[in-house]
Amino acid sequence: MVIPGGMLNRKALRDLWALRAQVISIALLIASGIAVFVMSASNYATLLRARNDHYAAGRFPDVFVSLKRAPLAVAERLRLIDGVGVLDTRIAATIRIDDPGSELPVMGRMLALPPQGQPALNRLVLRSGVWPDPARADQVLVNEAFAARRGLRPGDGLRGILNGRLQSFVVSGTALSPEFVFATRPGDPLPDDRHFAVLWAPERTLANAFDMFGAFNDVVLTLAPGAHVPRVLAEIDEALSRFGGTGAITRRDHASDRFLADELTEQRTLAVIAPALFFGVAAFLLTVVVGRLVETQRDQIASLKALGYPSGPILRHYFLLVSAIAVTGAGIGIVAGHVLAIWVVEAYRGFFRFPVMEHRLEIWAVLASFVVSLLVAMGAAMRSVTRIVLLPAMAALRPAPPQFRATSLPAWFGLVWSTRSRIALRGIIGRPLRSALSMIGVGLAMPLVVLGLFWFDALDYMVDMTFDRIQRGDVYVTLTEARPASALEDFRRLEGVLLAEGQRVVPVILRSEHRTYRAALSGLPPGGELNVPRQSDYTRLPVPEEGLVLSRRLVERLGLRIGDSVTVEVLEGRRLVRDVPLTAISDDVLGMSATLSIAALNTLLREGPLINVVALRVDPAHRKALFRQLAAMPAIATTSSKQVWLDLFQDRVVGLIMVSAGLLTLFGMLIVVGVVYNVARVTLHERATELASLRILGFTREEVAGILLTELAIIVVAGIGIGIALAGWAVRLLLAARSTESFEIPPVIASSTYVIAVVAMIVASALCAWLIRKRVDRLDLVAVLKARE
Amino acid sequence: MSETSRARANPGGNSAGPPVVFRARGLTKTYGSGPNAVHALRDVDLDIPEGEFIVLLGPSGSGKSTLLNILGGLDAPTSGEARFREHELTGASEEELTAYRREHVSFVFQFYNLIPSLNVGENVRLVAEIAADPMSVEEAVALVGLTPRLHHFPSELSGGEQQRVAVARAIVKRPDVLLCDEPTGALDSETGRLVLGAIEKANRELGTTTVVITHNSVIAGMAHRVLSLRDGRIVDVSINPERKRAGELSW
Repeated sequence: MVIPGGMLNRKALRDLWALRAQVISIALLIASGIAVFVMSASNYATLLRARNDHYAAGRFPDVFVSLKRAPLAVAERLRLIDGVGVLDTRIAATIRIDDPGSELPVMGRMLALPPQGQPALNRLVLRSGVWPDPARADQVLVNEAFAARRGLRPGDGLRGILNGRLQSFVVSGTALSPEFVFATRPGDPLPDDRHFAVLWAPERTLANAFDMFGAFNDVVLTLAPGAHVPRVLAEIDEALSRFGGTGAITRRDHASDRFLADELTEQRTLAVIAPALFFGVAAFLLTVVVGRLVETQRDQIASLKALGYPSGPILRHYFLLVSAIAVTGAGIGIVAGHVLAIWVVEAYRGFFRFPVMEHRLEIWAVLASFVVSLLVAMGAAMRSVTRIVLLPAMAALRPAPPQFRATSLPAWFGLVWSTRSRIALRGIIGRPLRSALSMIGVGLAMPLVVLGLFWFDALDYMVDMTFDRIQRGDVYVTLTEARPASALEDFRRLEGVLLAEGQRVVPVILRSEHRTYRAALSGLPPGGELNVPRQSDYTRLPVPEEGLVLSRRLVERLGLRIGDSVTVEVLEGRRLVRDVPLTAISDDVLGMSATLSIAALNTLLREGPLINVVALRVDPAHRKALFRQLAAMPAIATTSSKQVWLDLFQDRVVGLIMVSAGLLTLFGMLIVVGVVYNVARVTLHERATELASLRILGFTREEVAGILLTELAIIVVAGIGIGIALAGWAVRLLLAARSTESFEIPPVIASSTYVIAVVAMIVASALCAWLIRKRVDRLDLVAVLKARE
Repeated sequence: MSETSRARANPGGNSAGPPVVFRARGLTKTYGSGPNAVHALRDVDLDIPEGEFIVLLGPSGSGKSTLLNILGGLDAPTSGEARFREHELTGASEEELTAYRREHVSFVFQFYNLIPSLNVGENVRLVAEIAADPMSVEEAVALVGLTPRLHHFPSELSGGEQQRVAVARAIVKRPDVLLCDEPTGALDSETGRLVLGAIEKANRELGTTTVVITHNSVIAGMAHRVLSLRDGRIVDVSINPERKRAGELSW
């Protein structure tokens, strides 16, 4: 017996060739989804692997504590605490790097290296040069990010101000540390490699400079398996309270780890949510398009059945057909995703400081790509083919024409529309399900373009909100210690200062039941102009006389409601503990802030009207002169500039997001073309006889194409309407999944973004319309005379 | 084949009759080339006077459809010339041919080719909208006896009714020429007679020059002249001394 199928396979190949334009566009549709998925999944895995390897090899600690000064003997007591694994003590200090060329002061974190070089925890990876000679007091390792920014190489000189004394150093080498994947100065929202350095020096250097022989001021430790974390932290805090401990923190509050964790969340969102969204759209379109493709072969299926072909081989034939498309699409997508991933990982190297970050094509992602695209394609074909295959042969031979009835349209309709427009509109109304699917298909393509573009608006909003509305000062000066408010006068007299406001900022732990958060609590002058808490609609939140204003995300983290009492533990001075009510919630987008009126804060500290931060509004023309004057002023710890933050934000946040956003936009456009083109082609196929008949009856090409294009235009316009409605929803869905503690991206979509997306849809549609118009011109008129509808 | 046996479908210089609307000389249509060439029409000469009812008879592949398509401005001959009144059809551009069809020609197809989304009146109005001097839609529909069905959609009509709508659509613009390709091919004889009756009415009452393709020789009885085609040539021309009415036909 001859197995049916040989000829069907040949038919499958020829069908693929005959339908190549549609096949390619569907394959590209699949490829887009797969490419985003493979790229993001690989990149997420790459980052995760790089971090975990770095943490494991470098023995990244679980708990971190700073204190004033404790004798080494205390370390032994700490090691006895139940739940402590490996514990390491060290001397750490904040120093100032002497750099007359820098507008802003450059700060450094200097850490002591034990005599054997490599510490027990936070082990370094030497990237160039050699370890400092313990016998020499002037050699240091510098973190690679700073060295790269400053062009420092082993052998170069570096001068630091340690405890008020200028000292010269020689860079012996550059290094990476798991605790400084992102080197962030305490209190800063973003890592700033230009103005912040990490230096490692032999213990003796620091002990000398800071008078810390036989003592330590920094503890890091790992937790033993099964450790009860809150109890360990409490016991450590208890043991170190006499030595000025500022409270043990876990990785969650560790600046570098948190920033890294946020980035990973970001990547995971892009790796999972975006491709899922993307591939869901592609799958839906595939169902529509493949269904229509099968529908156009309805008569062929019927003929095969009439010839006695069993349903099995026919089904298999169509599965083969769509599988070929799906596998082609997945193949293209995997290759494209892999290439993009390599390119994106290269772009990551400037952001993430890992010793090893090797991109690997994730096999599971490849397998998942094939399986998902095959399943989706087959599911789509199954739905359409079985419906036709199960029909009796003769019923299937007849096309299923739309059933128009006398009551199809309202009476006023004839007054408004010409007969030709009626054909177009009834073409849509007559196949309501199919038309709805086409409209939804077009509608789904648009949010993808918006998902790519809205980041620009959201980031604009973030910059506007953060730097123009909330932190309105151009320059912030931190004083070495709190001073009477009258010190403001010194700043007001400086050349270029337009406005100066004093603030009091202290490190605190905010506690609500078991939840805690370390924050910088800002005391602001009521009615101040330079720091203004706001609500998301830009409304000013007046700083209350009493009571706290907290960021919404902080309120959520602490599980608070307005009126709840928050325990404030001050981490300096007399380490007072006070309960303060939460009176308002602010909508910050960058970081989490805690605000109080300056008077209330000073009262809470049991101190007079003191300030330790000065916010300045500066005349840009005198900027340089002002920085010169500030550099000469005594008692200034740090100076930070809004411009630097804007640049960093651009570098750190915008740069990384734009890579993904650009790709999303590109693929979104591809999907738009794919959908509109396929809808147009199938519509043309269905209406070919009708349109050719009209041509024979004397209608011009323009008039005939006009009918088809009117129908397409109605679908596209309706689709755009659906798209606009869906876009906002898609953006909120994506953002809900990615919300991190460092910053929250608001679901802001500018009208210009909608305009661009709509224009993109129209351009894609116009391109398709032009291609379709060409086909209308080539309609075979003679064939129509003989062909059945 | 000898020159004598080849029938020339010319009325033979009868200058007293109605003016000639179609004039074809040496029409040849060849598909493909070399040994695979298919000669659909070979050197056909034909004159059709105004108001004449012509039936083209012949088996499939005889060239009758090709001839009709060339006369209707849908196809171009490989050589020879075809002229409708002052319009040169050979060598005309696509735009000129469209304008020619629009202004002068109407078609009736074997499978009706109505627009499924338009009702009877709208299908007819569709053509009336692009005609210079159409009759009213109601009049055209009345001519084919479908006034009660004016608001019905094609899917609600029988095959014969649909074909009568096609005839109404064809005559509403008062065409100079009505070209019908197997108009009864898909219909039973009773329904076919109704459709032929409608075509006959157009020819008799409006004076429309009519060309009907059929392989059903019974229908030839309606014609003024019957042209038989075989292998791309007109092999026989017969003139009916007395035309039968559509209602008198039976097959």
